[in-house]
Amino acid sequence: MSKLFVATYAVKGKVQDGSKLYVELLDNDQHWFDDRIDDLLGSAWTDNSGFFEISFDDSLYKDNWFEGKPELFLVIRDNLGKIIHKTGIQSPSSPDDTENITFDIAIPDNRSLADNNPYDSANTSRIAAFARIGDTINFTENIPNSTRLLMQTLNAWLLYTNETKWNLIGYDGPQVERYPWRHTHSHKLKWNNL
Amino acid sequence: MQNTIFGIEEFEKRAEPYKVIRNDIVRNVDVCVIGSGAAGAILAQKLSAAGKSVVLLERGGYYDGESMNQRESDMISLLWKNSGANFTSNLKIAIAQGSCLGGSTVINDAVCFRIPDTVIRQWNALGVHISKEEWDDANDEVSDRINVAKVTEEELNENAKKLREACSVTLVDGNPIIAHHTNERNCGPSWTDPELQSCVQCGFCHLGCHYDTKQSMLVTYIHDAVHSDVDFTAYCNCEVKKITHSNGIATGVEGSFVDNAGNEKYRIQVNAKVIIVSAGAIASSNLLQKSRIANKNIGEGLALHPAPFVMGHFQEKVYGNRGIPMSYTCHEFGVTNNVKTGGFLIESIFLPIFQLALAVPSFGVDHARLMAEYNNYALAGIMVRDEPVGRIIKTFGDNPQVLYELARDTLDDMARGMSILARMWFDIGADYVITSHGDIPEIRTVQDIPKLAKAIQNNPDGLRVGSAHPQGGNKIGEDPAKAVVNSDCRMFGFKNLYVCDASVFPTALGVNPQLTVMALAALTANKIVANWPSDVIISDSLGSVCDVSQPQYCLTATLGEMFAVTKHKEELFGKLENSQSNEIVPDENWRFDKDKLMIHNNLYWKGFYGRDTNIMTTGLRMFGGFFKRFRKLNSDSFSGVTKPFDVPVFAKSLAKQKTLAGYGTIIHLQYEDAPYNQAYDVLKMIDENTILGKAFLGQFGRGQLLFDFSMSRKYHADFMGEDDLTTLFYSDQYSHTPTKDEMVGRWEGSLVSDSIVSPRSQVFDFEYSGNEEYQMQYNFANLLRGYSEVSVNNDLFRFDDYTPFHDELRMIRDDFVVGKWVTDWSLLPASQFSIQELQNLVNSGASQSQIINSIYRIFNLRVPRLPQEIGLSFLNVENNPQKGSRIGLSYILKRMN
Repeated sequence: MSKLFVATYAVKGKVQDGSKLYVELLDNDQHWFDDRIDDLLGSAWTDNSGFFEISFDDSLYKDNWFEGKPELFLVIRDNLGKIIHKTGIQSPSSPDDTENITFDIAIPDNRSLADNNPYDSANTSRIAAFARIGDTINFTENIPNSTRLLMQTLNAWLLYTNETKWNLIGYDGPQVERYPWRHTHSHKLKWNNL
Repeated sequence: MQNTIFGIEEFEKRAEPYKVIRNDIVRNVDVCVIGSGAAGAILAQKLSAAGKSVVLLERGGYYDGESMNQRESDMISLLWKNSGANFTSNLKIAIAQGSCLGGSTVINDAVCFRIPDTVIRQWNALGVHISKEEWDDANDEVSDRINVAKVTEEELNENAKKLREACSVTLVDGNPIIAHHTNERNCGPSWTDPELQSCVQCGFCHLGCHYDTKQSMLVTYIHDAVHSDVDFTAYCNCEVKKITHSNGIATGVEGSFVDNAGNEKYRIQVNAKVIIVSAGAIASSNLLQKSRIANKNIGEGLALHPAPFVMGHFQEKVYGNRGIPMSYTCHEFGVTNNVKTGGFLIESIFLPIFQLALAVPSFGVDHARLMAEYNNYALAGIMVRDEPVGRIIKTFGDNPQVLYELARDTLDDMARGMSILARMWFDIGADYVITSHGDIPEIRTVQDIPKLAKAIQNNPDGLRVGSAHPQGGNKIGEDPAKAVVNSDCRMFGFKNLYVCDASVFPTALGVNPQLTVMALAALTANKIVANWPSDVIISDSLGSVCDVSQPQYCLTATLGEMFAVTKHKEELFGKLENSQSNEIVPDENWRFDKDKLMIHNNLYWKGFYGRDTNIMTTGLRMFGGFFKRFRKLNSDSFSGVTKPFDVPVFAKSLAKQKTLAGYGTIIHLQYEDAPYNQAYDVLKMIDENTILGKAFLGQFGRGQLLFDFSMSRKYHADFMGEDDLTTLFYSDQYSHTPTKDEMVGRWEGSLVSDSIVSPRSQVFDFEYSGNEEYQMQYNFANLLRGYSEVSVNNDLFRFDDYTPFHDELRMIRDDFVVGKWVTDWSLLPASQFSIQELQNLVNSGASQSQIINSIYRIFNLRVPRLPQEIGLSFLNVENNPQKGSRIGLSYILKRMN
């Protein structure tokens, strides 16, 4: 059934961040098929106080006759276009009226810091290092020496980075936890208590 | 004011203010310092304190004390250069250097020796104009900040006491050892744990100081700069690719932020008034070599302080790992005891278990037996003051290769030192000693000690030697013909380029060098301020970083991000049209700026994809190159055609300005003919020569995004196509036939196709050999090497090898050449060339390659005929009125030295 009435929407909001930001308003489409994408309904820069306003009508988001209310969310970009935040979805109460929708957006402070630890990439570093030395050494100049070095390195790595082996030898080993910053820990040396 | 440390690794918590880099960076500052170790950190902090804005670039990552967990398996990979796998080219010497914020000062043993008076005098004689008073003042200054103090009696561990006892009882040639005492170290209060006022004595100095009591650059000078009131920024994970320069002025630094696998993530361009290279010995020379700085002394004169060890085994437990590893030194045989040439120090040291296991020169059961006694060893090293006989050269992959052989005098010092130390251990009750020579890993009696010296002399390859003090490669001197920098550490031939680290030492120092490097940095910082190059103008170069004005350098994601926030300039729409001609007409629709190597090509808009290195984008870049060309239809529309370079497709389109929700005003490019009419582009004109675009599939405004791209009518020669190269090649206006002399040097080559200019594919060396014979050596991808015969005649610079192809070169600038590797393409009947002609050729003294070419022709050994545009390849066919029909590859050459 065709509609005579075109619903219009005014999306307003404030981004609680000191800098000038770019706000994109999108309609969340159901991603049943790969060829569906979210509809970009409008965009605006925030003013000096962080306020923005974007208007649109329902012709922009209705991909199909059965599509009802828009499911609105915002993408916040910095001045380089880098996405720094995506909001949750809001739906207007009625799709058939002019309606004001308000977003109040707080950008999380710790957005750039993931819960990573530095040691996860140590293996990658080692593999890359061995690839790199292939460019700087003449492995074939002294093959027995090179082979011996490789075998001894493997031997040392397999045995002497192993805590069980440390205990057998009586090696004190590290004096702190593997992830020290995650635990309250003492800076006293264990052997001073022996 | 609080400054920030940047890096690409994401961490949940760091002691200093830390942010993750998420885009390319351009910085214009007073000073750019490369390397954050003993020299770089001090230079950066002192120049910052003098009011200069400073950028500090560090190859390694930022790891604070809390992340230093005392595990060799974790920390060596993160803190040591090349994860500890750092060797001389012959694999005989392992070189330990730091690669993290703070450099080697984070992983060293905190030993502080002042530059010996003997060395000051020797360096003065070699043209180092730094007086003893200057050294003393600088030493005082840095020692005060890093809290240099003598190790106390209470801090000496059992391992050090063993060495002290041995020094006290052993007689050498009937004489007692006089010169031996405790070391000075840079330890002090921890800024992160107020309860810790000095060294905790954990013994893990090599793995970074968890407690922040070792006063490394990380917790002293860098910490000061981060918390200063002046603009200071440290960028970690940054690999500097090159220093750009022109007419004796260093203009900028180009670098990449790389992940732990060495993959580039983002790029940085730093333009500065003063550039300082403090990347450490080896890396500093390598960077200068990569930067095409013409000084043949760069990389020469490397010393390593090679250090074998001898361990004594004792019945009682020594627990050498407990306590300060290096706290006692025997100076009797070293430069600190006025030994003028060579000599050595015997230094107490102990290693965590994995490092010791690497050092013990045995294997299997024997190795396990020796390691089982870990707690019963006393260990000391022989640190030899070696001659600077090493060299650093640049490999095909731009990495530094260290060429170093132990000199005879150095071997003699090692043999003497190890024999003395073995004797010392026996003198204080060792029941056997372990050496670092594979032929004689164990010595059971004093009488067997001479066998060790003999083994060293007879088989030096059997020695297991480490080095932690590479020095030299860019030595100071007063003669530019023999040195690289002057006494101010300023590079000869440059007004504003400095090199300051251990690489400038003209000889080995003879003692642990960190304090001398720091003092030199303090002196150099003062000199830079005193001689500030006020007249140097900071360049506005963007280098090869992503920017809206040069989007061909951007990542795909960044293209999309820039598209979102960049406005289309509606007023430029009328200038979308390209040239009416279908061919390049120099000076009409095609121009070339020789100074900037920029091509202005209005034949079409050349398309570019992101610079990403994933398979998808790389594939698009290599095989999916395209252009779009527009003709004006009326005041508000253009007809267009899109042509992929390597496919016979001409997709017609119509371009109009429209308003699109969310995008504002854009250019809508709708394809017209099936099947392309299912697609459309949304374009934004950024300036007269730059367009950002998005390709969609589906209905206008509701389509599925296929990819982001950019288009340009102005691009650097690094993005030239085959038509551009051919235009340059045959134009007397833009290129000339080089002479042999003009080509002398090393050149790196990249293949050119319409879609892409490849990464480095070949290296050519042109040189005169000793008997003035001109030689050309080629190296393709480090796989295929050989020589070609060069001939220059009839205005043609040509070289031939054994294939039917030959190369022709045309020089654009003294540092930029275009070339073709070609062969005739017309199929001549075999009868046109007979065996008789071949015989005549041989009799006429023709070259080997000419004869082989003839054989190819006689037997009709030709590749099958291919169409003009071969597609999906760099191979191309040209039809030239003078040269005829030819097939081959096109390439560019850039001078490397």
